[in-house]
Amino acid sequence: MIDALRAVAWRTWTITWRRPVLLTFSLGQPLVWMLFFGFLFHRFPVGEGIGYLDFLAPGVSVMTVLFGASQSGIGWIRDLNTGFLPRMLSTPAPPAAILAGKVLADAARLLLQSGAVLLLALLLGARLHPDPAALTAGLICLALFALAFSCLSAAFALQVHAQEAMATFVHLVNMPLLFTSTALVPRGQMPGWLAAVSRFNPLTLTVDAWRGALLRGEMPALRSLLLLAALAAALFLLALTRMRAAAGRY
Amino acid sequence: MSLASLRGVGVRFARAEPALAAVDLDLLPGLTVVAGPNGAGKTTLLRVLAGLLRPGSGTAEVLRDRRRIGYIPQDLALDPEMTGRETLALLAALHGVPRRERSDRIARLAESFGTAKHLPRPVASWSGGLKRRLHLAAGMIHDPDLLLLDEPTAGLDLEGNDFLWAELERRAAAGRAVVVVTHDLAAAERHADRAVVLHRGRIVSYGPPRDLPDLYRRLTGEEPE
Repeated sequence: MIDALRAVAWRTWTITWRRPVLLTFSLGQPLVWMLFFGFLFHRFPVGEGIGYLDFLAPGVSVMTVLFGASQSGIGWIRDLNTGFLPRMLSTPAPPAAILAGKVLADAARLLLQSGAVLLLALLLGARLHPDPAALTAGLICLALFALAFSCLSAAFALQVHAQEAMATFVHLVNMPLLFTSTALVPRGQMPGWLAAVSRFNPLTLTVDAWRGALLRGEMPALRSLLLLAALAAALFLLALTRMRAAAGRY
Repeated sequence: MSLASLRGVGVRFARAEPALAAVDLDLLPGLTVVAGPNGAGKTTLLRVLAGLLRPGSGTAEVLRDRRRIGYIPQDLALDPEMTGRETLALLAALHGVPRRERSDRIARLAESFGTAKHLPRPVASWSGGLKRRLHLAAGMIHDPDLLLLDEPTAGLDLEGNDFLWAELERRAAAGRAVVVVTHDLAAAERHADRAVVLHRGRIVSYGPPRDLPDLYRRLTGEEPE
């Protein structure tokens, strides 16, 4: 089980690092968000002693994870079309190990990318005050979020089997999640109904945990951690079901 | 010693005629070829032997341990972005080949199929014939006791063809069971220990492959391809 998981994770990493252009471009989008939003709304009131760029940096960092995770399904479609996924599933390796290997490797890459976004933010002038313990707990929240949305993307991709449909997924899932979360705007500045909706948004849970850890050294709420863990587990099971069904059709 | 035993096996898909009907077969070690016209049920038989398809009727006793079975489908199943070595190493890991044995197995198979010098390159840059050889080698990386190949010579160059039959004969001589679906009856006659002729889902002959093309014509009423 562990050997199979490690082998699939290594394969995912190897293929990812062979596409440096793609990795570089994936940092372009968050940079644009920070430049445009950061400077456009730099007078926007977000809290005592906190500038908008400070507030925005953790939000864009989590947003990078969301957008990257939602593209994770493309790899599964590629593996279905080349027949490589059915081939992997015809081996005695547990399907859960194959799925876990891929999504864990994707999640690790996304964490590195979100770290790179924070470095960009620091270069642009953002001020962060992380506490090591809170940062570790925040990273766990971020990792669970990355796993959950990589699994959701995988489940969608394995259901539709078409790379073109992934663009629909991005618009259908990411945009509503983004604009009903606290990634770009503090809850206090939202209309009442939107503030209420944002409380149930997993992106908000993650952003609040990550922002608290980075700006104030606050530990994330245990409730957030548990909810994100439950979401990741549920979406992992969903992706596993879709993976088995899709491979059976080939 | 039989590695798979089928009794009265029947498989029916949506179409009117059954894909397999009342098939009895005891699969012995050695090289067995399966021949028959298109739609005779050859791939269905292979999938039942691999344990990938459960028969609708009859009983199929096949190896329970999937690590002892190798099934190589006709269609290529490779990741073009991985190198040949990465492909073999990954499939070895997924098949549970012990880590310390992997390098030797990869080297030996690459040597057998004449792909050794290409292993460090991404599969996308390989020729069609070389990809086919890698596809076949990847299905044997775990050294299965029962190896099932669906039309392995399709798309294979002449040299690759020779590599393949030599490797299959070597495995058969070592006491493994190898089952090959093929339309190449001349090669089957040369290399196989036994031949199964399927026609309309039924086994119409199972025995030595002597005069296989003539036997095929007589039993199926069709010309071999």
